[in-house]
Formats: sequence, structure tokens, C-alpha cells
Amino acid sequence: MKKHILLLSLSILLLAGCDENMPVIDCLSCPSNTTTEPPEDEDRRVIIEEFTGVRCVNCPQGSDEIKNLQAIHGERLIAVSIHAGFFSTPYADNIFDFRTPEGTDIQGLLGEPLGYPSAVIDRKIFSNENELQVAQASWAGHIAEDLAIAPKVSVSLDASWNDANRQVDVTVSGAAFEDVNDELRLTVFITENSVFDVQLTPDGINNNYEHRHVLRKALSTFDGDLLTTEGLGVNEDYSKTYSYVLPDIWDETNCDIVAFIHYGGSPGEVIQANEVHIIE
Amino acid sequence: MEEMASNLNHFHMKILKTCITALLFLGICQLTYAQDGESQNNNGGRLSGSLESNANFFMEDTLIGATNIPQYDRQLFGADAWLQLDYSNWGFDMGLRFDLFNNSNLLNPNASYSDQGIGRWYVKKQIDKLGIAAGYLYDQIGSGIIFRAYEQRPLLIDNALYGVKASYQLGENWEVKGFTGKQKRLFETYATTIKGGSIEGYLDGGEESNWSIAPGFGIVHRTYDDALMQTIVNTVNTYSVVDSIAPKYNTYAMTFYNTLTVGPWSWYVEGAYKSRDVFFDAFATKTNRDGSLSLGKLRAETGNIVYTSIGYAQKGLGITMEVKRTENFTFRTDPFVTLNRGMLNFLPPMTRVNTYRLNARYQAATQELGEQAYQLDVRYKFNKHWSFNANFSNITLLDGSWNPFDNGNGLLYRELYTEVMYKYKRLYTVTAGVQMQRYNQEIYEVKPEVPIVETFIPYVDILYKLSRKKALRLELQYMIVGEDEKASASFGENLGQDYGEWLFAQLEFTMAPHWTFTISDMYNVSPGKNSPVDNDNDKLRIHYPRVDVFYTYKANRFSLSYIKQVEGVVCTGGICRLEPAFSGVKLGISSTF
Repeated sequence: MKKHILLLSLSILLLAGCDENMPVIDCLSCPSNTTTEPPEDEDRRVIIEEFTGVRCVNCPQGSDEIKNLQAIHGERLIAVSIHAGFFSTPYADNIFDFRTPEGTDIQGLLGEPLGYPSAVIDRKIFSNENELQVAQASWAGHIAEDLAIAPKVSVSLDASWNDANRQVDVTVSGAAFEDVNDELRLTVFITENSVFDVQLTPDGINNNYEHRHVLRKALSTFDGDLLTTEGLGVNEDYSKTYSYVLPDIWDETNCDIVAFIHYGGSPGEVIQANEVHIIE
Repeated sequence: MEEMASNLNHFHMKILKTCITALLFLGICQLTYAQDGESQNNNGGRLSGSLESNANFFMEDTLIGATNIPQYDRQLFGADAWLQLDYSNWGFDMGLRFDLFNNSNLLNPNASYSDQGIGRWYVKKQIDKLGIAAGYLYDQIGSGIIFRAYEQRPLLIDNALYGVKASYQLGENWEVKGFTGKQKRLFETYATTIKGGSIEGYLDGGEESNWSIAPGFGIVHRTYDDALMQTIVNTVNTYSVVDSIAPKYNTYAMTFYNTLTVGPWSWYVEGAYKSRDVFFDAFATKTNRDGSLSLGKLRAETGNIVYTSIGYAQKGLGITMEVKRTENFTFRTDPFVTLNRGMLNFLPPMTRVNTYRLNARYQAATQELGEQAYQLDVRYKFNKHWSFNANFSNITLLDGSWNPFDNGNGLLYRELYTEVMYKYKRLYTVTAGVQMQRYNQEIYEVKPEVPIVETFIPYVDILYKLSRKKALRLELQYMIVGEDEKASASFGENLGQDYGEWLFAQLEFTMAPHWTFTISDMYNVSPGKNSPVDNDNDKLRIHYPRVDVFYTYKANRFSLSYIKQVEGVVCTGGICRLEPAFSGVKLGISSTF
């Protein structure tokens, strides 16, 4: 019995002696630590593809978190809300059916979430995750992780709007900052902000909920248009143009073009992104 | 490119690992086979195993909500299978399990998961008083409050510890054990490391005495890896000062437990403490940069739990009283994993495990961040014909009331279950009773602004022996629910809570020893707030039929079922999750050999 008591005492002593150097915490949210300067071409931008649905009660909580993170990271964080999957069937009172064929295909490409809110960040499986879809709790950490990585290519966007025929012409161009010896693809979306429509929220059904950065249309194929199979050498440039006539029910003043360069294959990690208003 | 190469290497390593393991195992088996021919039991060796396989054929039914997932949209079929082989010889026990998931909805009921490979291997050896084991191990300390490595296939929980374990017999009645490793994550492991140990013993007063104690002490130490800590730091960096926390790499959980038995009395008590741990609280308020508030943030707090169970059993009477208080006792390999993933421990449920369809519709999942609960169970056998069981459980949030009549804030779950059984010779048995529940659907199923669901369920189960081998069983249950006043007001007619009132009937015909046939229907007699509507916005009275055929031959069991199932909470072993509606055909095979 004495041996047992000795063992127990040793365990407790071992515990008492345990100490560690704790990591340093900054306050990026503090005004002194945040920047409002627009990013340069050399600055990394991160894209968060949020999967949501009008019947998803917790998704507004995720959208609020994205809004908060955008307030911290400014234009370096680009958000796209994809309405697809189990909770995306519209209510009878919904004005819009936010689902798109591309959104459904993208969810098929990136995988269904385990729960909501859920998002894919830079289409990357992070080191402590085993799938692309990550829960809200870890968005902030993974976004910060990718923002610290220098971009390998630049993505510039030039959009021109023709009010007469409601056509937008977009040129996506850029160049490589370093050798990239992989297949590269370009995905281009149209998103719309400030769409007021029905959404289930923790306070019940909200008929006038503000939906932000809703995926409206993929101008490229859902898995990205092929830019190059061989990759790009240093300073080697690329350019691609798209045109699209916006339906009347979309408010062009709230529409944005989102473009990102990513590797080929599935899922195709994003290496740089950009966003521009259709009408500046 | 580097990442691709790394992934490729990883993939190759995985295949190599699988092949080596399989070859080693098959080599050993082959060796034994070659030595002694085809017997399962030769040279002291024994090869045994089991197969469990489920196939689902998905048939979309938009009316009941069985839609909008890949299996209904395009895949149409999904399957899961586990083949376990165990071999014992030369004092060694070893095993290998092949797992397969093919468009499976087990991991995520709203998604499709496909993968296959070696899901488990292990080697164990007893060397005198020393026991050693390596591989994917299942084990627990005490009741599992600080550590439990276990498997629950219906929810695809496989929390095996991938590591090593050593145990040593200290005298006749004492054992000390230690282990270290990582928790399994499907076909990978989490990066977080775990180590722990326990000492357990047994003492009694000798042959003449009627008392004994079985005390134990256990400790678990979890260390986050650098990448995970960086993610935590990056996350906390975005918090405002008021929400900021100081995360630590190391967390310790320790527990003391004891079972005291005196005559017909048995008293189990366990108290556990967890040092400051980082965890995600989905209901915690976070202050955003613009001053607005939102829900969900990382917190760093200590945790504790007290659980006790007192039982009395004598001459047909059995009484059990359980009490549990839990505070911040989520203990996971990673603070960002949610639902049933990455759980290092197991918190015992404090409700009766109901089996009848409607009685089991509302089940209380353990609230690991905070709940207080008690449960009383009384069983009495009057004579060889009559017996009785009553169970009462009450679960509240930490600031809730212990008063069983208080329906105020903080109530999570309350249940009164009664059962009377009458057995007449071997001819028939009648079981009947009523169940009453209060179920906080807002918290358990995260459904906003719904009232506490109130149910009253009378039920009867009649088993009639037609002959020595044939039997007929009839189950009837009716669920009455309270009114959802808010929904009634907006819909313009009286609506019951959740799905309203249900009738369930099942007829089962058994032809021993091989066949069992069942046919059942769950009918939404009086649709409630969440029941589907037709194009005219009228509530639909929907049938959810089910037909099963079971065939058993020796140790093989086959099942074929046509199922339409309403959405609901599915619990297994005290772990629960919300499952969507299902429509389709299920085929199951289970076999041991």
C-alpha cells in the first residue's frame, strides 16, 4: 500500500513541477495593430468560401464572423458565400433562389461540411485538419496563417461596365513572382452584396436579412479555367478576359468580381486572389 | 509542388504501411496454417474474426426532406464495412481490421465519405505480471470521464489510441497502467500527443465480511502540437482585449474514483479536475472589432465533474440513484473539432436508454460545457407474473433548479418513465406504461425560438408465443405533444410542438431460429410546426413505413430493410447527433467466425 501512495505522490509532484513557456498573444483586433491601407500586388490576399443556406440557423453567425475578420484584415480577406447543400432550399417567401449550378458543383468539388457554419479557406487542407471544410472556430487562425505566406503570382482585375446592355467585361492579368512549375487555373466569380431576403436566424425567420457576398455566377468553369499546364516562370505574365450580361434582378452597384489563381486538380490550392467592384 | 510530392509520399507511405501490416499478419497466419492444416485452432493458436457490412440504397423523397445530399442527388448507393481478424498464439494476441467507406453517410449524415484501408492493428502480450500492447488500442480510466478510447460504429466514432500501453500487476488486486500515443482520426491520427496512467485496486474485509472497495486514480496529459498552437494563437490574435486568452500547450486531467459495496448497497463516486484548457464555446459572447457582439469564441478555463451512483439490489427490488455535475469538461485533441470528433473522454449519460421508437425520439445528449443532472431508477418484481420499473431523470444547465417541478429557465431534459410487465407462463408477456418528457429542443438541436417540447406517450408491447418456435409481437405507441403557441398564431390553427402527434405500430413475427419479419409505420397523426406542408400550405399527415427481414444462420445475420425515417436525434452509447430524414433500402450483414 505504501508503494501505491508513493506512486500517487510522485505523480502529483510531477504535475506540480510542470511549467511551460506560453505563446505570445497580440491583439490584431486592436486599432493600433490594424491597417486600413489597400493591399499591393505583392500582398497576399486570402479567399474564404463560406457554405451556407437560407435554412441554416447558425450560418448568420458565420457571416458575422467573416464581417468581423474583414474588418480586421481589410481588403486582404475576400469572401464568397455559396448557397448549396442541405440547408439551401429556399423558403416559399424567398425572393431569390441563391443556389447556383456552379455552387453545387463547387461543394461537390470541395466536400460537404460536417456542420454549419463551415468554410473553405484558400482551398487548402491545413496542417491540423483532414478536410477542406473547416468550422467557424478555426477560420481566424487559418486565414492569418495564409496571409503570412507571400503570393507566388499577382492577380490584377480590370472591370468595365456597359450600362446600356448591362454587360460587364473583365480582364484578369498578372505575372509570377517566382517559378511556379505546376498546372495553374483561374476561377472567376460574380458576387452580390446587400441582398435582402429571407434567412433563418437564431431569432427566427428574418424576412429582411442582409445576405453578403452571395455567389451569383462563375464566369469560369466551376473548377477553374486552365491557364497553363507547365506553370509560369519568373515575371512570365498571363491574361484572360470574360464578359457577362447581368440579369435585371441583380443590383450591379452591389456586384463584385472575384478572381483567384489556384493549382489544377482537386481541390487546387489557391495561391493568390483579388476582388473588384463592377462599378467603382 | 513540394506539397504534392509530400502528399504523394504520404500516400505511398500509407500504402506501404498497409501492405507491410497485412503481409506480417498474413505471414503469421500462413505460418500457422502451414504448420497445422486448416483448423482454426491449432498449435495453441486461434484465428477468429468478424464482418460487419451495411449497404444503403438512397431513394430521394423531397417531401420528408431526404434530399440535397450527394447520395440522393447522384451517388444513389453507399456502403460501410469492417472486417476484423484476431489471432492468438505463443502468448501474443494480435489483430487487424480493414475498414471501408464507400459514399458513406456515417461520418457526416449530410455528406458523402469514401476511403478504405487498415483501420486498426494491435499486438498484445502478457509477460508474467507485465502486460504490453501496441497499435490502435481501446481502453478507459474509471468511467471514462477523463479518458476513453472507444468505437461507436453507428456514429463512426473510432477514438482508438494509436500508441503503446503497459500494465503491471501490483500484488493480487492492484494494477497500474500507463499509455502514450495519439488519437486516431479516420485513417490518420491527430497531431496532439496524449499520455496517461492509472492505478486501480480492490480491497475487501475478508471472507466473513460483506464490504469491499475498488478505488482508482487516473491522470491524462495532453500536449498540443506547434501547428495547432499557432492556429490557436492566430485565432486569439483576432480577439479583442476583453476576449483574449492565454493558451497553454499542456493540459492535465485527473480523476479519483471508488466503488464501495456493502451488502446490497453499491456506491460509485468519481471526481475529476481538468487544468486550464483551451476549448471552443459556441454560445460564448465575443466582442467584434466594430463593437458588435457575436457568438462563439475560444475560452481557457479549468473544468471539473462530479459523478456518483448509489445502488441497492435485493429480493426483486433494485434502486439506483445517479447525480452528475459537469462544468467545462470538454476534453478534446483539438479545440477546433466539433460534434463527435476528437473527444478524449466520455461523459456518461444521465437518462434512461429508451428502445421503443417514439419513446426514444427525444434523447438528451450530454452537455459537456455545463449541466447538472440526477436520475432515479426503481425496479420491483412483485411475483413471477408482475414486475415494475420507474425512472425519473432531470437535467438542467448549471444555473438551473434541482426542483423536479420547476419548469423555469435552464431546464434541459426531464423524463418520467413507467413500465409494468405481466408475464403469463411462457405464453405471453405484456409490457405497458407511460412516459412524460420535457425536451429543450432549442439547445439539443439548435432550433431557434422553439418551446420546450412536452410529450406524453402511452405504450404497450405484447409478445405472444404461437408455438415453441413462433412468436408474434405487437408494439403500439402514441405521442401527444404540447402546443406551439407561437407557431399556431402565425399558422392560423393549433399546431403541436416539433412534428406534432405520432402513432407508431409495429408487428413482428419471429420463426426461431432463423427468421424475423417486422412491419411498422410511424404516422404523423396530427402534424406539428415542423411537419411538411403541401402546395396549399396545408400540413401533411405523412406515413413513415418500415419493413424489415432478418435472417440468422449460426453466427451470420442478414437484414434487408425498406425505410422511411423522419429526422431525429440518434444516440448510441450516450453519444448523440441530429440525423436527417432517410428514405431508401438498407442491407446489412454481420458475421462472426
